Amino acid sequence: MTNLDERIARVLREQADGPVDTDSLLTAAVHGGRTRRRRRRAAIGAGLGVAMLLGAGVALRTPSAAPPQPAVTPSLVVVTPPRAPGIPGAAASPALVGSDPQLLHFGVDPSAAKPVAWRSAARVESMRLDLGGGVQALVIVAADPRTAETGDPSQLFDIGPDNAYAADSEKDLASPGPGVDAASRYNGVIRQLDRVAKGWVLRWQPVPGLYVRVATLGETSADIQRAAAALRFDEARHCVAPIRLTALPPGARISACEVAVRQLFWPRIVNVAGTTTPTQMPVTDSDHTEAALTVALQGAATLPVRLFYSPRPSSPDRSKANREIAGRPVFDMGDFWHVLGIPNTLLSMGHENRWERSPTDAEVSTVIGGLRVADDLGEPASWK
Amino acid sequence: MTFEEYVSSRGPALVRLARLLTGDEHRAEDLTQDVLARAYVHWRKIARADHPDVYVRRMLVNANTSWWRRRSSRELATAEFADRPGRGDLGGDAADRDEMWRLILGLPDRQRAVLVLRYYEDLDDATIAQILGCSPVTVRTHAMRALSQLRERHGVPTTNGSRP
Repeated sequence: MTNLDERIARVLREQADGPVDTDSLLTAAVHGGRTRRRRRRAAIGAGLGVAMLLGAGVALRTPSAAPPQPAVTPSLVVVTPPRAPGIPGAAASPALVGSDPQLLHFGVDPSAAKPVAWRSAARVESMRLDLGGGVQALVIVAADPRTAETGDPSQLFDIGPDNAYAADSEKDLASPGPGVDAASRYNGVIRQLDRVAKGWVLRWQPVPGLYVRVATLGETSADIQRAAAALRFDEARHCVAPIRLTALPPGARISACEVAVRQLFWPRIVNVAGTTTPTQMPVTDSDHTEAALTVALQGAATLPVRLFYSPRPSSPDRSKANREIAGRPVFDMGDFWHVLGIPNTLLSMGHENRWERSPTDAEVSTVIGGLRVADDLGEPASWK
Repeated sequence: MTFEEYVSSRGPALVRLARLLTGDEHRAEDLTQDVLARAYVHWRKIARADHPDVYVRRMLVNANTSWWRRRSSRELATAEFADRPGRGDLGGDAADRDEMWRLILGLPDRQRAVLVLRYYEDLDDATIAQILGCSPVTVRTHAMRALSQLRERHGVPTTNGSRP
């Protein structure tokens, strides 16, 4: 590879990088697909109806519309990441934030807010909170302001710099531009989110060197103050997940932990004819549970292990296993592996970053051999 | 493979590819959702194909091209990113990479798609040709033009050659 080749490849990797909310993607794709299918069937039905009216004289069976989707009943069971006794919180040492992917160095007052998603990765920790009444808050915590602004791409889809570049000084400009001290923006001032209707963001430093960013939606900024008051930086909690990896290949470590027990969808920005329009959409509950543990392998390779659980029965035509690894039935796609046999659950691991080497068979066997899945995926209390 | 299994395994990679094709995270997500919704309707047929992933990526590239054409007819293609403030501390290397990304975004969509499929997806020209629905010769022509523009506008000496 030449210098130019390398620079292009590096820039592309940087721009493409970042977690993807597979839960939302799958839900939206299936919903959109079903809608398209219904429209198609309705159009065919209408066409056939016209043909009958025109006297085609053929006995026709009009395709019926797809059955209505069952209402989603949100799980009432909410797990709070359990306390990690003896581990100091971020207030004691901001540098602890993002230092151990199996820990969160902050917590929440359970009487004020319920965590519905949490993530701990290198240098950044985050949570989504249910404040009750369909109100949610996003929380990002880091030990430096740049990471607090850019270090959690999955949250940045909603409140990141790409949502904030209006020239209006009343609006939030997450990226202050060259020469501006990013830390000075963490001053406790509530701002309105740009390009998200009725969105608010608050940045502050609970202690010097600890940067916290919270965002909410609502007519007023009252909820953001409620969310901020619910946060506790003098405690640490375990990044509890419904999967555990009890064995790792030599030299490997877990580099990120991400769990969503009850996704609260954030309003989406909708593109209309290529332009971007701020759109208010209802906050909708989903009953899916999604978790991902990322294993950093030796030699700059990663093996994300992802679990997607839905209490609704899964598709009956699931692929059959084509091999067995460490006693588990597995559908082996070469560089991606689906672990089968877990009811209502998709459990997969594999090669996602094409610039990295693919995990070896031995590495995959070790990880699958040490894989432990919670007995009841719908009962978060059993994960602990 | 079921649709759910496909999205579970390849969805993140498709969104990342879409981020590079569109240059916009929201648009990337919308585009991927839209393409996957269409794939859902025809999933039995797609799953039977020899390379379902190539098929879906082709849908993604084509959908982006259609969107890009619609958008180009309504607004200046470069207006948005030219006016955006930088991502912050853009000294030295970071500024250089930011400039390179802007130049890649400014390339015609087929040229950008070739670069993305070649340098990010690490695909050979024959597979890129399959995805773009053209010949490998056309792929090489797009790549040559794109690299030549990047060299010229990014100040890379012409002696510093790349894969043709």
